[in-house]
Amino acid sequence: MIYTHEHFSREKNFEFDACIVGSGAGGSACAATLAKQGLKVVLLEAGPFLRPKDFSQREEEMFAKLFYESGGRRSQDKTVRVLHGQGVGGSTLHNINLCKRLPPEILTEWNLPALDVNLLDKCFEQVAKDLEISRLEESQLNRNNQLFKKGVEALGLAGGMLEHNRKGCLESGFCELGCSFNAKMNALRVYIPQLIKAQGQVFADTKALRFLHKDGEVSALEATVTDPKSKKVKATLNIKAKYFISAAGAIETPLLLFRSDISANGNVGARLHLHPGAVVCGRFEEPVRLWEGIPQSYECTELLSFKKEEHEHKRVWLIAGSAHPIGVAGMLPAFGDEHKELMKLYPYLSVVTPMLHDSTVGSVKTSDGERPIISYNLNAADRVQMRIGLKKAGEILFAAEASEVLIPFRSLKRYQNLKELSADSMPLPDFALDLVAVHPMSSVWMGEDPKKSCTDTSGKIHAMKNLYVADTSLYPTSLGIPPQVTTYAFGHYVGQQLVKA
Amino acid sequence: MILSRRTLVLLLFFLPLLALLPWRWWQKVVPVASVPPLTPANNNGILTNDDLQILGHVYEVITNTQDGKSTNDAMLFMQEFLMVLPRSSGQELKLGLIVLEKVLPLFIGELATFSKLTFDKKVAVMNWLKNAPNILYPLFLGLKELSYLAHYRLEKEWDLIDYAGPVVERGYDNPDFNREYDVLLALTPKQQKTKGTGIQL
Repeated sequence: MIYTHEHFSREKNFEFDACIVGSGAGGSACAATLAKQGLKVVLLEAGPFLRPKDFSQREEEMFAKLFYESGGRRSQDKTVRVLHGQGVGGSTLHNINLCKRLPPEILTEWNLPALDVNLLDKCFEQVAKDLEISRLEESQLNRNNQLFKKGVEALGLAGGMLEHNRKGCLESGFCELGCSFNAKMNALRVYIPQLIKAQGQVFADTKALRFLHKDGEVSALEATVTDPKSKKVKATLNIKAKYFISAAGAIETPLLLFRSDISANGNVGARLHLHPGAVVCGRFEEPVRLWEGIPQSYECTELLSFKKEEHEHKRVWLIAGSAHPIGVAGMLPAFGDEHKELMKLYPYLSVVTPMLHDSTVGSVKTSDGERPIISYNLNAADRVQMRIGLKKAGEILFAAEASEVLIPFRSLKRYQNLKELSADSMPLPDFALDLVAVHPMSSVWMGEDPKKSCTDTSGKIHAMKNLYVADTSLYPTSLGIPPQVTTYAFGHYVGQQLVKA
Repeated sequence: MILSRRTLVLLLFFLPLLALLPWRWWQKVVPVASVPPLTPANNNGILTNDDLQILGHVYEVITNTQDGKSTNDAMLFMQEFLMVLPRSSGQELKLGLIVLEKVLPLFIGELATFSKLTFDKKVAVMNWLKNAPNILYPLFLGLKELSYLAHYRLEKEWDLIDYAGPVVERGYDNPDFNREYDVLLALTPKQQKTKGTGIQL
């Protein structure tokens, strides 16, 4: 069953076979896998338990419920906003349901001979079946994506319809604020019920404080249960288990390990990829109303290649962008009357987002154990890729017959034609663009050399006997694709490995 | 001797702060701001009502709203929103507000605090901040995001941008969407007393 802060009122000790921290893609899949094998499992989630009726489709209400720091988390120098989900279901509550399988070239790049590729394949197949992944129909393209597709096709670029995990979608367009219509085949809808059916338990509003360990073996986890409204601690928990798995995401997992004084040779948090993205807007004569319909249903892969010989120069994924008024208002430069005039263009804007398959390596640290210090500064190669992506996005919008292209640099730039856009050298110093990252990963990466990685290929932290990681932290490199399917698959994979062990 | 960039930045900050000290007494005689006062409330012990007053002034400048009721409403919203932020975020915001209130007016040649400037002068300060060095620019980003969060949650603003708002409020909701989750939730201790089932934690 699911327990929330309303169920706890005092100190409490528990004993389970497996204790998993974080209920997103990795944690929920891992928990369901273990529970189905007969293990007594508890899944802890720092955020609240939200049902479709709780998703109000209002930005000001949902940001605080769905994101750490109410969606305001940024890198240390504030150049990148890092969105990281919370709540039972984790980031799968707010994601846009994009399903792309891990490219085999990325697996090759990881160079992990001990990784059981056959088992991982089976895990991917299981995820595709469980999430009922299917390709969207062209009839499901909203106006924004239709224009994007039109531009991509007019230029003869590589593109296509995306696969999603939706069932019963009403195409309301509020996906990033949680689905009020229960149409997301996500962790909350698929794996949490599987876990509970297999007698597993979920503790919501429960923050993992630290692992208690000695001689490389974790004996217990300390946690607190907090009332999300009053912020008062309702109970402190001591959870003993045979196995512990951290699946709290690539920002919170390293923080939990830091609080527990586990550093894996100083490697924890020393690597971070973010898939940073920016925004390019096209102004059209007829209303686009980009907030209506499925936000992202079409992709352009012209600038993204995983082939070794092309990889360095093709690391931009282009996709339609969408936002509701508060998101758009925050993204547009200027203030006062100038901003008001720009907001009047909102219904007429089509948006394309270049997302980087980043080579930049950032890091996660902390000074107080609570708040992450995220260091991330785009390297020169990624700045070049971003510039290429911005220009191509503008080109696509002009090809779709936009009357004007706007790029929200620190000072808004408006291009009346392709010639103006092409002529712009677009220097990209810090803060030139307000970058947004929704895919933090790689902070507790796997590898075979304990000196150069944090976990082995089963997800077990080096030098620890019973502590595993099962989230996006595991990936040695940036993926270049939305990570949800891969993360569900690795959740299963780590669970299977643990059972084998 | 050539000063390092870091030293120059520090000087840039602290000299105006020191210069401001004699002005502290003088500020008290400047006419009071138009922003209405708030009732005392818990802001995680970091942000005071004075800080919220400054945010009210910022809101007016950023959204170009000059009626007391809207500002008061926005301040109340911001107060509630900021309460859930981590303490360290609150501390950062507080520091930013101190800089805005006491230091930034100097950069447009004004000696009064930000709150006590005329509206046009406040706009000038915000314009300066918008084009400020990178070390200060994030303050503009944060204030802008917070102000527009308070502003564009208002339905009256949606009409101006042709935004129809949530569809759940237009009869699309369905209790069936929730049933499969309702059964997953354990009974609370209170419910257990009435129904006599469930696990006591």
